[in-house]
Amino acid sequence: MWLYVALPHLQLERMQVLHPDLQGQPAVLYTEQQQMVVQFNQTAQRQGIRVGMNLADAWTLTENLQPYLYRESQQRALLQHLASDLYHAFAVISLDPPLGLWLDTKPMQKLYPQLQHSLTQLELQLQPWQVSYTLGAAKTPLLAKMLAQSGMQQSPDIPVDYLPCSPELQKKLRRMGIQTLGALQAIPRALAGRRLGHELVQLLARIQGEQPESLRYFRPPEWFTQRLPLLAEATSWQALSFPLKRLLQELEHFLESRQQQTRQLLLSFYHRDGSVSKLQVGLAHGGYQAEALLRLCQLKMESTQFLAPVLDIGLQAKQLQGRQHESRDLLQGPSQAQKSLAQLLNELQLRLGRQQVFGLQTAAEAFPDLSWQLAPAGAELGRTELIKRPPWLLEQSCPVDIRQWQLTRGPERFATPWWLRTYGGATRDYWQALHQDGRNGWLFYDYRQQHWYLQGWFN
Amino acid sequence: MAYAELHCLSHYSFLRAASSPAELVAQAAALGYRALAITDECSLAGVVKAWKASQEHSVQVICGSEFHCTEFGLFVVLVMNRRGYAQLSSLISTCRRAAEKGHYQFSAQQLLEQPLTDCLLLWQPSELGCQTAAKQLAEQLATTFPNRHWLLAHRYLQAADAKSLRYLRQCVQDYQWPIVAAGGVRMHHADRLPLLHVLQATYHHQTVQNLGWQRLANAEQRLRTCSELAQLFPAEWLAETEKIAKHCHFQLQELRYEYPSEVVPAGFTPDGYLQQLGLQGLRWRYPEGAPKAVREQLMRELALVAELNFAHFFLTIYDIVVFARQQGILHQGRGSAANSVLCYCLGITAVNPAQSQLLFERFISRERNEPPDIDVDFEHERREEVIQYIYQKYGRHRAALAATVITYRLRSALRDVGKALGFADAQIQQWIHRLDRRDSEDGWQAQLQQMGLMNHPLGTQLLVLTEQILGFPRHLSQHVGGFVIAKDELSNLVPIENASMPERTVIQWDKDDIEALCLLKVDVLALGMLTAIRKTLDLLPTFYQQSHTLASIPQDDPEVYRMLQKADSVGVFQIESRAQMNMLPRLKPRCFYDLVIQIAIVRPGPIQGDMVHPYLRRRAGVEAIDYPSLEVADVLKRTLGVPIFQEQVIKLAMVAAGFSGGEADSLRRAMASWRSKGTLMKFETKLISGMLERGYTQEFAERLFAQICGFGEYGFPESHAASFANLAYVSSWLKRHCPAAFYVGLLNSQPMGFYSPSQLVQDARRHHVQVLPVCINSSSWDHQLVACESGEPAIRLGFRLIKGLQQRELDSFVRLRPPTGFSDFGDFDQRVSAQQLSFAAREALASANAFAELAGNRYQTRWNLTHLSSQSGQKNHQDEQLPLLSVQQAPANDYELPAPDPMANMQEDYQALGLTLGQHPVALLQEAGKLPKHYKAAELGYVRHQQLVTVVGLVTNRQRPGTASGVTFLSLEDDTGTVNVVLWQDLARQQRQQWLKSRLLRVRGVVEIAGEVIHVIAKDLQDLTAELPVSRLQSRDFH
Repeated sequence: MWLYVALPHLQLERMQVLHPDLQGQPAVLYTEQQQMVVQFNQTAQRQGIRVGMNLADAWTLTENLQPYLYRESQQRALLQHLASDLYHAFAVISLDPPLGLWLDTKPMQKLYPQLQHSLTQLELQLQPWQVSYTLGAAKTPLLAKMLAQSGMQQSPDIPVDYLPCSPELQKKLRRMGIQTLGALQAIPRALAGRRLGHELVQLLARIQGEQPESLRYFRPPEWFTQRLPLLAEATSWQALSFPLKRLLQELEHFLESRQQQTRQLLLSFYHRDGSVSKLQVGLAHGGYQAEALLRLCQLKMESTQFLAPVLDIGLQAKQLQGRQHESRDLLQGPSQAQKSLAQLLNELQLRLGRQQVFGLQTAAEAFPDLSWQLAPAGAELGRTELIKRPPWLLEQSCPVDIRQWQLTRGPERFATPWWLRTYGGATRDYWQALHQDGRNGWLFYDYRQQHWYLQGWFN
Repeated sequence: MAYAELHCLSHYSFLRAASSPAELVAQAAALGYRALAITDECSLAGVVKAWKASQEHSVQVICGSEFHCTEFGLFVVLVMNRRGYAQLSSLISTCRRAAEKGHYQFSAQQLLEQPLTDCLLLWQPSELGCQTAAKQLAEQLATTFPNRHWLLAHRYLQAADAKSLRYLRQCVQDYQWPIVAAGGVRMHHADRLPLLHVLQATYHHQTVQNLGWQRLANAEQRLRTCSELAQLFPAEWLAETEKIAKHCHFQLQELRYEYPSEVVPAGFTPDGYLQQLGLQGLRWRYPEGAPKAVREQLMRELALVAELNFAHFFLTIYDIVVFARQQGILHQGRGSAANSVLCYCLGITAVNPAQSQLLFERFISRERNEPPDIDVDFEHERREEVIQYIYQKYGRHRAALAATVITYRLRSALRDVGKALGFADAQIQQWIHRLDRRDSEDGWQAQLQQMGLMNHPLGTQLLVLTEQILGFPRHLSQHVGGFVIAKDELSNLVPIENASMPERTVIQWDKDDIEALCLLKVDVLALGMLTAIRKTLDLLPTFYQQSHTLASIPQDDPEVYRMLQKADSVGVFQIESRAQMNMLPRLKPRCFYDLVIQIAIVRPGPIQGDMVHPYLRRRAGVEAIDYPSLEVADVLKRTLGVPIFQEQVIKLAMVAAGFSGGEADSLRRAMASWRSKGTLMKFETKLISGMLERGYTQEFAERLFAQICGFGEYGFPESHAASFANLAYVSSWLKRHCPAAFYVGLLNSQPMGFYSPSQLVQDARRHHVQVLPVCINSSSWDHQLVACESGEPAIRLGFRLIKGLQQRELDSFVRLRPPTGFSDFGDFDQRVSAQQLSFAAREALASANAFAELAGNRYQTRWNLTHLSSQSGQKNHQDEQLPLLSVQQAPANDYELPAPDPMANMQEDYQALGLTLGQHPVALLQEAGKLPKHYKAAELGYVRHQQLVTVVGLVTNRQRPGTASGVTFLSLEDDTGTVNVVLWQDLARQQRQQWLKSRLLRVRGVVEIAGEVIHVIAKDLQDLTAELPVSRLQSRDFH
């Protein structure tokens, strides 16, 4: 017996769970290209909005529409996530992106001898998700899907619109008066094949189970989980470092065999009373070497407090990714493990906090104030096409007394960005100038303030 | 210091500059420039407007154009004299014709090869190109343009300035070229910089914030003051501008228009020939002799035409009209030309001006000194023949279409400016959708503010910039049918570009420019009704034993007017709309002139100016007709004292307020320009004080002014209404006396008119015309008239009604069809091969039940038609290995499909044909018990005024005219007719989702009966679309 779960509004409903006030307003998801509504919530439905409707039409129906862009990648991710959850209860799952999935109840018959048990279990698993869904149960996957999508109770009543065949074929059937699956199945197969083609015959065979359906089965993503009981209760970090080191070595082994690295470690500390303390260690650049990981963990642990003595320690690494190979020169011999920039960056971020470490980058802008920006640490500097610009810029320009300066080169005139309130549409003339103590600076004259300011230094 | 700006772009360099030619000229004059060159990129689109502006300012306008060349940089070509102008225009045409619409192809080589002997060349060489090639080019150019070549220097106050200047000085030395200063102007004033940024952003498909290097860093590319310029450039470079400007003395008015000479036969002068034709025409139009007044009028007109030298206009159009007549293409002149006896005699117009008091001065006047604007409508299906005639007769190098400049309107402006400022797409769309200018009296700015625009940090900028960009040109498009014809090469007069339609070219000037320069423009327009009338007339001899032309239709037939008084006007030209049908029983036209009034009065102008009710009251004798003076009576007598036509308003301004001809003309212009609200106010004082002076009451004066404002651009000129009334009468006569032929004519000319084929067929059947279904044995592509047993002609529907068929295929099928038809389906299948009639066509025919005579039900027929061997389009069946014997089709009827029930039949009919000859969907649903108890359209005549009723019908029409303060009109169609439903604004808003997209609607409301006109004022709506199985029942929605 196959079960199909159709989730027509998965993405929007999950959004609603995270942002509850969306429920009271008519919200839709729409596709960017065709500007078409693909998912809607109940409030929107009450206003008359339907799937396939043009966004413009939806606007005419309700004035306070909340439209959001439909994201295919997000939809897939949600479906995967849902399947992972269902995997706890059902062994055989097949994804049918974007809006549904199949469950095979046969392998689970020992656990759920009757269909009703499967349904109850399914309901249980889906309940925390708070999404709407329709179910279809049938002997073949295709039939189950069609039942779920059409909402029919009996398979002969399923309209031909739900047949997974080309729209032309559907239209052909309808124009012959064949509106339902039942009417189609009534036709002798040979005649149907002769008139309507191989595609249809195969489809019917799949529906009736005469031909197997080839489905890809879902596998949950692999990750590393290990739990190590301690020989003695640990009350300090030092006591933990030896067992942690062992765990990390196992992790390194695990990662090495898969040529992967991890970007996150989850340390779990199990206490006597049953509670668990969790510690997350994130790595800006992935890592896999036990030594390096250990140092990072130690850094993190040092700044965290222990609540109670630890009995067991667990390590989980989930975000695994492929490795970028570092080349090793065979001739040079084993080089001393130098601390790479990446390593340094990881450590700095951990010690100081992620927000405190960043880099600089140029921006493609002529106006000086806008020509640089903060960037994530380690990003490249960017293109420098500017000529005659000082290497040092003041964060805030400061007023100066022009009498102390001698203008040497310029002017370079700029209109300040009128779209930013702080500037208010003025004009500035920038000049290179020599200060009386010999330094070369970059000044500008603001016509609105009618004053000179210093923006940067050439040396 | 005398400075001339030699390098300046106007907003006709699309998306590259932010000021209009007029603004640039005005500013240049204010700054004391000696001259301003308008040098748009490969274009002369802006020069006429610049020239017009220069008439009011004391600054010389120089014509020029800018060209970009990737290898060598930027070139500016300036015009010295008339010959130079022709040369530049020619160059631009060459570059534009060599590329697709909107682009041009230019290489420096062209400067050496094309004749530019009377032009000046300015060059800004590219620093990046190959320097040896550049040097070589410099030498060649110096030889080709002796003493007419300069290097172009700009100063934009950017970091690269110093380097560029150094490079230029080096070029001066290397090439030994003189050098001149220029602004590279792209805006007239610095405060246009934000707008220019927005235009740049639109051009690069970016937001202003993300434009990066592309964004203009400062506002230096504007018209700067002389003192600023003096600080930036060496004095010699500035002085050079004046020297150059002195060489350029071309003025646009020198484009003396020379008319094509073919239209005047040898031995005649244009005026002489025109007079001969006029007198000939007079004898033709008035075979019993023309009335004295008419003859005198003709001579007056001929004299005026000769004085103003406009004979060629008439002769050219006469020539085209003669061609049309020879080809049997129906045509009719419209607009102010219908005022002219001369046009009537030449056969250009069809309305006898003697019948009504028409003003020739409206058409041409001494004061206006504008060429006549003669628009001629042709049958829409054959207009292309007329166009090809013009191209053939004059050649493609002498005839081209005028341009229409597509400008920014509110929606496109909001969209582009919003995008450029970084507003979210969805947000902009939301505002646009909610913005309904006609919903309330507020302007759009106020409406946007109410929607919370100001919460956004860039809200003010959006408002300001949108306002600025309104009216800016976006691109050139071709005019509908306005041709410009030249004596010699048109490209010597104005540059020619490629239009988007293949084989079509367009000039760079629009209608206003052409008028300003008195060029000859001929408007060749298309009118669907002319096609329909001709097709109907063609059927008369065979089926009605009579023969008619447009002109010979018997006039003043009382039966025709009786029909119209009952609002039985579906299909009739101009008076078939819902609004017109509501007016007919109230106005009750009895004669031709009543029709003229009917057509003119149901328009936004008279409605808004509150002319309608007073007129109707006076006509009914309820209100007294009074005239404050004899002069006013003279003007308004024929419309019972209410001004209805545009000319009456103008005439009143002259006789009652003392406006001179010229002033009255300005008033007309103010009324005609679509953004006129502001300009009309200027006339208020003059009008009112003028009338008070002449003894009219304040009340009368204010009322008249209010009527003028209401008129706006919507009032019809009387002559225009008269031309239309002519066609309205003719089509009414045909409907009354030859209905079957009339409907066939209309159906064969679709798409046109107010009603769908479905509605026309229903109207035909209500008029007891039999309509026969599409039949494989009897139908042709077009609908036909056939004789049936009763002797009355019946309509046989044609294949053209069926969705998905190709005319060529069906035409050849009809040719090969045996004269007796096919006996049964097998017969058909055997005799018609797949090449003769494709599988797709057969399927479409089967679904339309065209095989009804041959086979059983259409489902079965489609089944029988479907076999693998004929599924040539499906490639995934290639693996089918059919044994040789069964390559042919499967036996027919090997499986019996259930026949369609009446509902399914109706559904199939609508899907295949767009209409049904079976039961109406509403009748079917009623039989099936799916509808609540309701009144039919025909039954409403027996209901009391103010009675509460329920009506149900297909929504065939949704209309929200701007004049009716937010009211929506719905038309609901059932099997007996149509119900007019009125939906007031509040209800419309509340129950929006019930009616907005509904196809079948249930309305509970109150009946309002006013004479013969019945409306249902809606109180409650319910969408019943879910009961309908069909999908092709489209409503015509007009907003």
